[in-house]
Amino acid sequence: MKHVTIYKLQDDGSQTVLAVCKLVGEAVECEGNQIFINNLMEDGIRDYAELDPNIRLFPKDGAEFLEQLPNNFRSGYLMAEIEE
Amino acid sequence: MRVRVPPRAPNLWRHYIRLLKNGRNDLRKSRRIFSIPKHPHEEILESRTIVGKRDLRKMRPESIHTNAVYFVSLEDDGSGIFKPKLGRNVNKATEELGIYPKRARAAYLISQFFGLDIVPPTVVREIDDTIGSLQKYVSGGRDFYEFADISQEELLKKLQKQFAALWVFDYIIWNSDRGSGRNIIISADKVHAIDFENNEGVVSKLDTWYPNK
Repeated sequence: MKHVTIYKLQDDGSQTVLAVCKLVGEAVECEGNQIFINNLMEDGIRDYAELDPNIRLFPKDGAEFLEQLPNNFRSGYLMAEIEE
Repeated sequence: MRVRVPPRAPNLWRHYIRLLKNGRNDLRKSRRIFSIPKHPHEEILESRTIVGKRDLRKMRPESIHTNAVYFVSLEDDGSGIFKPKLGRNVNKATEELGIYPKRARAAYLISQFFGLDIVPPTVVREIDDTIGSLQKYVSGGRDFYEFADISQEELLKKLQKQFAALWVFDYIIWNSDRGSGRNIIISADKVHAIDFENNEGVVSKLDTWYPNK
């Protein structure tokens, strides 16, 4: 099953897993750092498929949310990767 | 918050446009015109030997959904985040290929010009035959998403002046890619603004203001 893993960069250049998100039914469920997950649930993420930067996606939006995670976390400090 | 604006600033907008559009040569020229003091870390990022380079993507280059990002170790204990210009996704046909490092560098210079000191030192450098932006790594940095709710409120209060500076800065560059705490790294009570690659607003807005440029 397709899922997205969010990695956090450490000072030595290594990465640790911060959270793993996957599609369960119609919605996305995440496991991992609870603070991070709570903020994802409350703040949502930007939908780069839309021109308006104020349009947000939330876990309840399902696959769209999952697909947009890598576009939102790409700084290097946090990296989201779609994995099979 | 007190922001010192150089007296010639109102006349420099046209130069900003060239700075944002034309790349490194103009950036060098801009440094002279704007009299931006060079940060010691710029010299480090520009000149130190690369001793390590780690691809931060787990899915490798054939993956189309992520952008290329590298953690780069520099000689004598420095490190940075390197984003090669050709490793970036080009989402829009209108976007110039390879413009992203210029945006990152321009954001840094503008931050320094206004004395905001809010963007980590960023240079354009060639590493392994690839030009890209190299930004100083913020040690111990935490993303805004990593703060607990109560801490976020306290954080906003505690770092109010810095967030005000960030707001001013985003307004100046017409940043379209901030949202609620996006692209912010906080380390040791200092706010760092990062990731300007997808800020389409800065150029498109200036095009609107100066259509005949």
